[in-house]
Amino acid sequence: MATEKRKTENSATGAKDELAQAAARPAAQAAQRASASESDSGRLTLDNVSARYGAFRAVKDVTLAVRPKSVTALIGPSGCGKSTLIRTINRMHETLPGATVSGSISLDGVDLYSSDVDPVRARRVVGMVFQKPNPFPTMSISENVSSGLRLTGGTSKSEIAGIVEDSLRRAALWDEVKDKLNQPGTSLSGGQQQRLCIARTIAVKPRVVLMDEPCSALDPVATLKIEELIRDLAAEYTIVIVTHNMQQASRVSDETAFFSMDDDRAGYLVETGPTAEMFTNPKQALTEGYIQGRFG
Amino acid sequence: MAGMELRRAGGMSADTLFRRITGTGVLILFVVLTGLVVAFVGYSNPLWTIQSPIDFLTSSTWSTGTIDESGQIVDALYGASGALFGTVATSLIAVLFAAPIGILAAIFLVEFAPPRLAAPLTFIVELIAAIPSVVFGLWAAGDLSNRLRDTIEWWIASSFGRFLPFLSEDPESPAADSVFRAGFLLAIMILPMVVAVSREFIRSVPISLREGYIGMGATKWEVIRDVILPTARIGLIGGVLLALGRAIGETIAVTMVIGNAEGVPSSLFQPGQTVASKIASNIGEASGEIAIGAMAALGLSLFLLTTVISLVVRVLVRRFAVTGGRA
Repeated sequence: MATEKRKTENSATGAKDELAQAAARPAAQAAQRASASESDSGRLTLDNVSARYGAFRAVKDVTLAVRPKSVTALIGPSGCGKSTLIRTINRMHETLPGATVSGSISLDGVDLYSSDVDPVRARRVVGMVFQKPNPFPTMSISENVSSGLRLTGGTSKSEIAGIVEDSLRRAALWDEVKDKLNQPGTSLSGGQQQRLCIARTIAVKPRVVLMDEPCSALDPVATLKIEELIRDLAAEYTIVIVTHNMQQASRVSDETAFFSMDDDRAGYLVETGPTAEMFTNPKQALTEGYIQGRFG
Repeated sequence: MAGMELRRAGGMSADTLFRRITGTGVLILFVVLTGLVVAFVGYSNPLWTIQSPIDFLTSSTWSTGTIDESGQIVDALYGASGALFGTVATSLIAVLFAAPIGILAAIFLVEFAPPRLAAPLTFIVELIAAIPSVVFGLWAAGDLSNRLRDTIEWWIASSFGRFLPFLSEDPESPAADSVFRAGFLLAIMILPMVVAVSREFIRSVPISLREGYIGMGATKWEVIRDVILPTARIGLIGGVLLALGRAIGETIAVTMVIGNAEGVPSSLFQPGQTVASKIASNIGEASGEIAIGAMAALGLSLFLLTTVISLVVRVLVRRFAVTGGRA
């Protein structure tokens, strides 16, 4: 997989099928049969996932099923491994020196950690929006949005222009930037920059969008806009969002997963359930204590 | 009347005193710079009584003239074009080799070398930077110059010399010294500076940008090509220009290997001289205010060249600061 040239693909949506192509190798044929039955809906399954920084285990044995085309919020006190966990889903965690992942994470039946999955391609199917808006400073607004398409290659200039507009519209940014598409992405306000990063992420049509505290650097008005956007995007994408803000979790998410830290400072999943239930009637005393603000 | 606890203390405040002490340091610097420029303009003045600055810049003849029966100096002409050519040629050769190699090395140190390897490698780079230039000069004069002549210089001459006269060399009797070898020695000498400055600017590209592009499905190479190099490019250019400034001013090592021949050489593989090496090798014999004036004019031209480069660096760095890397 890793040796395949990117040039062999010839459409932007090709990125979508990449994992399925990977699975077509004999070693992964069983996985492909599973994926065929589930289609590419964006169903994520985490099974016994642990993440380490060297010898330190930051996330311990997380097993979690994420419903396709819904918003799942990961909440919990600082340092409980939420951000680390979300970074294992797009194989970003392992890019840090000494960082390792064990357990399995599968997307629509394909194990993302299988040896024939190219992590670079996995990241095109599982997009990510970061804590701090990070538009590329040397690229214009339009180049920021098309950066993923240009990486994949095979999309014509006119197609790119259409996808840029469409992505910016979906990210509720088009009307604000349509007259300055060639200005640097960094010329926008913080909230606009974050919507630009969302547009850039969805331009390559991923199945999953990960959001790591996407509003923590934004003011309340910008936050509200992003939250509305997250709700809209849930119709098409599976969204996993890490948030410190419990009101935000209750406003945007369908499902909530609550994490805590054990005595070794390793984060673990306490419980998960529909958001309304988690906030009104949690099963675990620990969850109730956190939600009522008794710690964290 | 303010209460005791609010009243100003008498005398000079500590802040005022400190401001004056530090201000004195800056004043001294300013006096030094002004003094240098005034002195050089003064020294060089007698030269302009016998020839024009245009002759100085364009003529390749450097002649102290002869003394006629009446004791007057006649036929003196101080043309620096050979030295100016040598300075420009050697420093461009230096940058041509040092810039790509240095930037690549810096990319390796920041992006690929494991921390256990990066630390000692960085130390080695700093070590090379601290070697006095006379040591490099000795190395070149002793052994390196011949090795360069037999390897890279000969390779270039035999590949391109036939149709590019300024890269030709006589295979039977190659010159003992050459402009090219002086330039290549300069490349080695400025390499640590290019690496050190490039490394700082590459390291300063925020991790959030790298991760942003990795998250878009970019390979490490694509991150370097599309994010790191464009974001750091003003700093990289600045670093190369700083190194160019050092190459232009470098004197002793160049004097030891360039051959100190007058005029503009017919080929880069012939001996020549630079402005700095000319001053170093001629100052001993310079006597009389006109000859001294010619030395001062050489010094002024060198000073102007490095000033222009420093100004360009300043402008670039300021633009970098304002726009966060977007030129």
